[in-house]
Amino acid sequence: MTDMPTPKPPVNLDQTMSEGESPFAEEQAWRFCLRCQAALVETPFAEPACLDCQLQYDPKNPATYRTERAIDRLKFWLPGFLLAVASGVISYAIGLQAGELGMALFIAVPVSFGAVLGYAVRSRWIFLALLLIATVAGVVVAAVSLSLAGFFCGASLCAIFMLPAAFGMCLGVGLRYALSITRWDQRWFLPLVLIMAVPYISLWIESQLPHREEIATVRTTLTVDATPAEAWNAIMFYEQVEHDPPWLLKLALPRPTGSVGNKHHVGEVVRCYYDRGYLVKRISRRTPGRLLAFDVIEQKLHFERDITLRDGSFEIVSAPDNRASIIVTTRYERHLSPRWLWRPVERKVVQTLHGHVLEGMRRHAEQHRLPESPRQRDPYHQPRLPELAVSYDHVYSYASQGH
Amino acid sequence: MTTVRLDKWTAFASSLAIPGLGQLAAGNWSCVGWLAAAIALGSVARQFDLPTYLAVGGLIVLGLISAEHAKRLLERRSTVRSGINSRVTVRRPRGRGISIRMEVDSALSATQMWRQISDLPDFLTIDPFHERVTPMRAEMGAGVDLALYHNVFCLRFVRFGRILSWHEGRSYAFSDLSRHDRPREGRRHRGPRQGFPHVFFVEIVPQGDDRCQLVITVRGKWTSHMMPVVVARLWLRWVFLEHARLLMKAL
Repeated sequence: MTDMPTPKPPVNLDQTMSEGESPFAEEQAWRFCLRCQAALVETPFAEPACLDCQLQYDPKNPATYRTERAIDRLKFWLPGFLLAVASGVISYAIGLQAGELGMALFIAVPVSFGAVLGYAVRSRWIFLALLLIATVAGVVVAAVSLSLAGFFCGASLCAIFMLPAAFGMCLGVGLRYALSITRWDQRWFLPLVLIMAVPYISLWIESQLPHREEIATVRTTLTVDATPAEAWNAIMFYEQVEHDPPWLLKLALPRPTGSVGNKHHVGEVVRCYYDRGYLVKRISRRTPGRLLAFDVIEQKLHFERDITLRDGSFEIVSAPDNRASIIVTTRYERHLSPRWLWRPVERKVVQTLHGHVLEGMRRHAEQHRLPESPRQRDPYHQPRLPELAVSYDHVYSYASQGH
Repeated sequence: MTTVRLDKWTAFASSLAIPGLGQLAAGNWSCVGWLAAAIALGSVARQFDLPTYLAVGGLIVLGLISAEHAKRLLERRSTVRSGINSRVTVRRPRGRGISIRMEVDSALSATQMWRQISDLPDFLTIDPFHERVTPMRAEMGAGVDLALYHNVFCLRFVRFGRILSWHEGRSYAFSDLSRHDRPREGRRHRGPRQGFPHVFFVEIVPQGDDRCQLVITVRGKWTSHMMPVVVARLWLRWVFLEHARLLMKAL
């Protein structure tokens, strides 16, 4: 049995006219044309038909007209938007699995899905801009949901994708306008196919190019109100710091859960455990009261494809007024490219990590020297990080393809 | 209470996905057999370690046969079949023109046949892709608009046409055109000249008192440049062979 909708009454022409309103106001029409969805107004002097497209309808047969409008504007943007998101997620996933974390993944992918959006969506600029933000967010949320990226990487991707995606969108819009004046039959789909192929072509080209290895060194110095001996005794790794890490470290790095091993002699191994992996460090050099250096001999922290930690050191230098300067150094191999794009992010994370460790050391070194203030006794009190002297060294080396 | 009527293309897609599912939805017991065949095929492939392409190919073929069977279960059929014979002829006009003629010999008299074919909402749905037809007037005649609801492999869309000629008891013709959107300033829009515009000519040729021939001629223009006209003619030949089969089954 099929339920038939009951016929709706027609617009009362006399009544609407007497109220001084237009009888053609769309809000007052209860019937809409099946073909063009224009409001249907029954007039006594003509056969019932749409005034816009002249399609007939029968007021007594509800099957011949619509009782409400379909949201047909969706077709101008929804397919293009969904295609852009799907194209972005698929090309990102394939690029992540097949290729390296380079230009193809962080530039070609957003340019491609931005161009798909610009080419396939017909809309005003303001709406296109909003859709671009939604597309970038959609791709990143999908990547995070599919465990292709963590929260911190997702947030970084949002920022990194935005500019190339906007550039791609402008390219797509320009291409659409340029092709709209041609008589090319396949212009509605063939350029889209080519645009969507761009990330894969870029991946292939990137895989053919020689790889460049880059070692970055970050040094951070803090002068503490403690003697060099007190500073030496306060040396601790990230995993041994007791106070809460800053939000950036909480997002970017796995949470340390503990460490096993000593750092009293050269050759001793310290195994540090995290909620998502572990890190093994071996003491490589030790000059009591002055230098403690270690090599990272094993790293399983789920960011091996981003950076590989090489080694690090703690150096204690005497400072005026019987104080000590602590110099923390970390060396790591960079894998993410374009290098210039990721350098500030990496620097910020490593610098924050150094600041967190140095703050832990400072608290430990100065705890016997200063009386604890009531504010410091407050467990919820988060003191400001001390001023740090930060320097960066980048050592470049090159490796051939397949390294 | 609203009941959902299963359409043949949904049954087709269901059985293509899982052999037997369309039959189950159609309430036919053969679903058990199809499902068992699919499981058996999978087990044989696993047992004898058949190559993947062979196992997948076998499942696809089984799915296609099962899907076609499920579709045919939901096709209209007449209790007393009057169709005797059918022929489909594809002509080759110049350019992108399409002209196909379909002839169905029937054991019905011309009057009986007219009674059947003049009920447009009923007769025009004996078609591979027409799901529902709504005339815009209660009285049929030349100039009456038609809404032709299509279902092509589960893709639903509506096209519009008009009865172009109406000769009571003998013939009629109607157009089947792409829907055109309300024209918008500065924007191209699809219109009746796009998407294979065509016209059906339906005619009864009496052949004695108790026999007649139903002749349906379709003329149109293949507008899509994605599919060459030669391929389109082959495709349309298959469609009208299906149409003829459905008419033979339903009349």
